[in-house]
Amino acid sequence: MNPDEERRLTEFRATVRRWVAENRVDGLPKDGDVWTRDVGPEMAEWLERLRRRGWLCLHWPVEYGGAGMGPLELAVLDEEFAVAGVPRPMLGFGEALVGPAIIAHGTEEQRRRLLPRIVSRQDVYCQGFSEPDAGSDLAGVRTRGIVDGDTLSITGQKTWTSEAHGADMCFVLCRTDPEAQKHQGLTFVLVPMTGNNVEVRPIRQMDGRLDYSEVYFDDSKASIADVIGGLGNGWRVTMTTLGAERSMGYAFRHFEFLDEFRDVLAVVREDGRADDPLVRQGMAEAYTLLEVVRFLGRSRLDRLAEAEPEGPEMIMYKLLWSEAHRRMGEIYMDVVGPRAALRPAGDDYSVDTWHDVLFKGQAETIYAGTSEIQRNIIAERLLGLPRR
Amino acid sequence: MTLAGYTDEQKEFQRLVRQIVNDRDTLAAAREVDSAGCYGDSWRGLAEETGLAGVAVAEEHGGAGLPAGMMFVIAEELGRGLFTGPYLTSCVMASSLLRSYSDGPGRAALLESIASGAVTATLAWVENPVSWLVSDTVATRAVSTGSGGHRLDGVKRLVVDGVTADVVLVLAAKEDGDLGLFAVGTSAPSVTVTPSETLDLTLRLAELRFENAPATEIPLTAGAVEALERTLDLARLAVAAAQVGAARRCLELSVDYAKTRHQFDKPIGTFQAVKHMCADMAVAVESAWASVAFAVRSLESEPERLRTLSPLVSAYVCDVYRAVTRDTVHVHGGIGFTWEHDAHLYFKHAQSTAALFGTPAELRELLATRVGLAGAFTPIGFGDPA
Repeated sequence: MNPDEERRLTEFRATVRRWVAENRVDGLPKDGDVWTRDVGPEMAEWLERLRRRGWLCLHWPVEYGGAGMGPLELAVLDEEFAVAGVPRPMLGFGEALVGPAIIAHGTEEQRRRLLPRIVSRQDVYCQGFSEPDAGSDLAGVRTRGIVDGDTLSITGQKTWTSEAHGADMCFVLCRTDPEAQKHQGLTFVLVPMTGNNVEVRPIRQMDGRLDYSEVYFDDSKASIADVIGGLGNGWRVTMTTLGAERSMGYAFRHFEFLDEFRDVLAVVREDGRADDPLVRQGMAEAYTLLEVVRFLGRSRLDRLAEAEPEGPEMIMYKLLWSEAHRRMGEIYMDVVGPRAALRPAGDDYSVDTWHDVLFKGQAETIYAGTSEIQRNIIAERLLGLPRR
Repeated sequence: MTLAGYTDEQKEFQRLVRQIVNDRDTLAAAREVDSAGCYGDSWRGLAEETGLAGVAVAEEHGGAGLPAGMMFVIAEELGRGLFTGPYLTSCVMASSLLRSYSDGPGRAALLESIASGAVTATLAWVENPVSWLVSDTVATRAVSTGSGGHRLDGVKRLVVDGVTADVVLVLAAKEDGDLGLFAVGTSAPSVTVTPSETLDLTLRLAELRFENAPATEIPLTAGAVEALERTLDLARLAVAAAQVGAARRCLELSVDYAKTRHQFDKPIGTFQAVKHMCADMAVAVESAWASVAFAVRSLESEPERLRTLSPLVSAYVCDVYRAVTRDTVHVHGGIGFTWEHDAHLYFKHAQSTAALFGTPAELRELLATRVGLAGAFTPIGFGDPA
């Protein structure tokens, strides 16, 4: 990094630190990911302050409502927010997946019309990719899209749709040309969720939560103007989206992991187990893993800072953090002793941090490309092993 | 250096060291019991040719004037070729200890002779060979001769390069009970060197018996135990760098083999069982490299972090290297189990370096203590510049 760049970042760090000190809101949740329309009053106020400052959708270009930040500024801002203990909001699928797809494949008209609506949270998106028979093999989707003048009629079933009940819009991968080959004839379109013959049936997960749903479209209407990348080009757009999904969490999963580690450590100490050699082995391993996740994330940032092309760590990061996190869950269940079998009191199926990590680990090694899909990508694209 | 990769200068030195290692057929030496490896005249020649022996020595003492971080670039390349020579003990450990924790007379001369390759040195601290960690229970005694010198009595075990080193820096108790470090020439008749048989033929261990051996006290600027422990922290990082270099080589061997070996009329690399094993190895190697690189960079900016980073990175990389060498043997099938193939050399190197200077479990315990699991929990700093 050249000295000018370093000076600029140091100044930026000071700016962020000052702004957060003056504008922070008390009582914010730890997690900054905003998946649904309804957020608590504190978070709503925090989002509004950030919006006025222009610090939402940080990596998007300024002309579309973003902050136009490069990866280094993002890293600085994330660190400063983490150190100050305030969440750095990420506006769900709209920011993480739809925005990058529109920026890469949309028309200028679509960018100017659709992106600001994501920043202002007028449009909250959910994901319409997976189907009962199309999981890892996503190109096998069967949801139909029939062109009728200026509209597209959508019929079919999507599943594992996160936060569908809190969304205004769904980005749907559907088949508009059943005669074409598997990866062709697919279309990526934005579909309104309300007043549009869309039925949402929540799926209760192993952790008791209802984050995911089945979504049924029955002759639901979408505008041709909201097809991204053109009819029949959906697979290309989807690839961009999946690429963005793989880089979700950017290089900062370790912040969340450290918070969890502190929670478990507090309980281990309270129970007088912090001197138990076996517990110490487990906790030292968990701590090592969260640091290694940080190191690999950092090497990704450094490569960006050196303006080098994306390196192997980009593809490896998701596999490393998700597998490491699953292992942390196992360790935490071991070190808390009988607490592993108990839940906090209450009507709901509420769980403790160690259960939460345990469950998350099971989901994370499946979503956004299973560990097996990640290994295929690493082996074929990075190591050059033959596909078949 | 950054975590994006080596600087141009580091890459250039990396190429130079790789060339040297290739020229010397180090793997053949690693396969041979009692191989001369890169000791003696061979080492002196290498030192003169490259200046790498002076990697930790300041220029005013005849050092190479190499930038920080180069020590680990060299270690990585030597590890890749399972280089057998006194680099770790003499150039990393003895040199760094003398440079950082000693200021007395004789220090400059010893550093100069190490940097030139004329002399090799090692450290001897273990007596009870049940652990490689530094213990402050020391039976070896140093008695003053009255004329400034000392006489040493005792036995040191698990001394790396004890057979070949010209000078050994020995942890011993003085008459007042304080611990000190004493330089002893190994050619003296009062020093008996007994080589130990080792699993990995590149690891040279010896038992050293001192019977009224003439010794010179090394004046230290820190306690002897602290100086040794901090030197070990650095040494573990150098070992980790060597392990990463070796693990990367194993990954290359495995991937090449998976591409060329055919069964059922196709390369075995088309099978997901093999493919996924290779992918896991690749992630392990890359994350291990990033870990070493992070620690090395911290060395420049915040050296105190090495107290936590060293056991953390060392334990992680030991586990990575053992898993990668296990899978390398496995991917190669039957040929991987032969003496002829290189896989077992790396496999044994992984097993023995995992035991070296503390087992992964001992290192995790060290990490638990130093990060304050039971006391004030102090994670490694997060607020550093991007």
